[in-house]
Amino acid sequence: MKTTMQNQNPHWTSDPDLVERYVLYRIDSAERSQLADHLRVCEDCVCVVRNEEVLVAGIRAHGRAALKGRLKERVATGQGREFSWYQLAGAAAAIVVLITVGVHNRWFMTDGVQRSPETLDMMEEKQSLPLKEQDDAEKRDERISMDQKGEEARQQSEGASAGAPDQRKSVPQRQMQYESTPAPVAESLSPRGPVEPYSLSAKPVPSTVMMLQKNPEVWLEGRILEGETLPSQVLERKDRAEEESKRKAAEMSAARRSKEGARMEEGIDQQEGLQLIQRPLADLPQSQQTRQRKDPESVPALLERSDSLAQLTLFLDPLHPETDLDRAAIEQVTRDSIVIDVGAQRIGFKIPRWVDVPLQLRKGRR
Amino acid sequence: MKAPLFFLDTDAKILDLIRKGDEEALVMLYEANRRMIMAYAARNNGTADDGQDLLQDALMVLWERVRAGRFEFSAKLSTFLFATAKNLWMRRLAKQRRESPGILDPDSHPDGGISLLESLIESEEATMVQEALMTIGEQCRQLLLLFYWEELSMEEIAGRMGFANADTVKSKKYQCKKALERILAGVMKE
Repeated sequence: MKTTMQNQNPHWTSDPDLVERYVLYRIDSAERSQLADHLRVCEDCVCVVRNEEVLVAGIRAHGRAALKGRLKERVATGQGREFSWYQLAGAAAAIVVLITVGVHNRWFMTDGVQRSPETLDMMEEKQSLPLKEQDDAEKRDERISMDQKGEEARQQSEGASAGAPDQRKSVPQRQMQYESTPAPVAESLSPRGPVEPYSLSAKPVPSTVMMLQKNPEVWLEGRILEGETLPSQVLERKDRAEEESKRKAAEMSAARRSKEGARMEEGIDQQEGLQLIQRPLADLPQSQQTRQRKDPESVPALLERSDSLAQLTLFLDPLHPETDLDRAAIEQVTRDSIVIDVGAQRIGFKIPRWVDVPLQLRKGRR
Repeated sequence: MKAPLFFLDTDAKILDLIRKGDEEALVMLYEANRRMIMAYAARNNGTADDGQDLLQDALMVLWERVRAGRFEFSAKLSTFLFATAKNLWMRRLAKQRRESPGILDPDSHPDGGISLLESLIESEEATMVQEALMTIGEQCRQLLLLFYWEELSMEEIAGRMGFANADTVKSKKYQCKKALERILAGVMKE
């Protein structure tokens, strides 16, 4: 390579190739430094280099303008809107997260009843408490709800209903939820035989049904349960859960006694128990009749509650003899499901968890 | 601090596309950095057009350096583009104020720094060269662009343009350059 030192001509700029390499940065830095030193003392040489630089800059400007024009065109026509792989990956991840959250909320955070976020928080808090504390928390909830909702609850209660078409086949996710939970109480095995692994649900109702004591009516939809044999895996699970169920039943009994004691202190009427009443389907309100006609297998029921009285009115045809009602029994099969044994029928109800239903039937005048 | 691997991987893919001459890389970079550069222009009394122009020019600088093998990958591409856009904007402001752009060290090529040659591209003289280039033949224009802008070797140009060998290209390039200089000299006289 020819350099200043090798040239006979003291002005290296007389070599066009060298000037070109200098302008295009195609010589190493040491040699470049030597050439730059010469430029500091040679004005003519600076002009030669400058002319070369302008020429190269002009050619590059031409190429740059052409490329820039193509880029502008692609961006303007929307070709540039194509998403890159990492943008697509980000969007896909976001969709997966949203779906996961949605599925989680639908499967694991609802029992068929719409609740406000505040309500969900309170329920979560309650579930982590012992039974006695849960009772206290429920009372607190009721007071809060009553304060918040007031009159609105009374208006909405008429439209509030519970129960849904038979979900034993149509809503497998509810079944999954139950099957993943050990059978909760010993009473789940009926004296007449094993209870069918049914799934009951409450139709979405306004959260105001929480204020049952203030607004004491809620419609439930019962299911007549057949005395089918339980699948073996359910029976096995029930066996395993039996001991646990007994323990829980004892805890519940203790909690109930404690609750009764608290009520005695508050001077509340201690006549405990659920009054069972039956009426013909013809007595159903119009709205409930329409619903019942759509699902003739259902047993509509109206749960009414006051401070001292809980009453469950079954609407069915034909009516049971009074003696059957006297011998009727109630059992809780899951935390939010009860079964009424009346006559030859076993009728299951899904009860919203915040509704306090007495687990013994009150005998007497109807 | 080192850039996250995720960005390095992405940048590496984009650089690879540029090396292959895939202009889609520029579109991707444009979309990814548009907000940032537009916001910079807006913060510095520039218009939306200024922001777009700055980003496009910065992308051109990146394209040229990568294609010429003079790009040192030491930071995220977005950092390089932002620094380049910032330097270009400062130079334009200085030009508007008729101030000297300052002494540029032609040797220095820090990330985002503008070389003397790059700064000349926006000069009036360069515009005259561009106009002169439009008057020479298509083959000469193409050859000069491949050599001075794409910075391809003589062998590559021979292959691309169908010349017999590198020597032929060298000879042809000399003739084209002289033709351009003659046109330019005529323009200067006028």
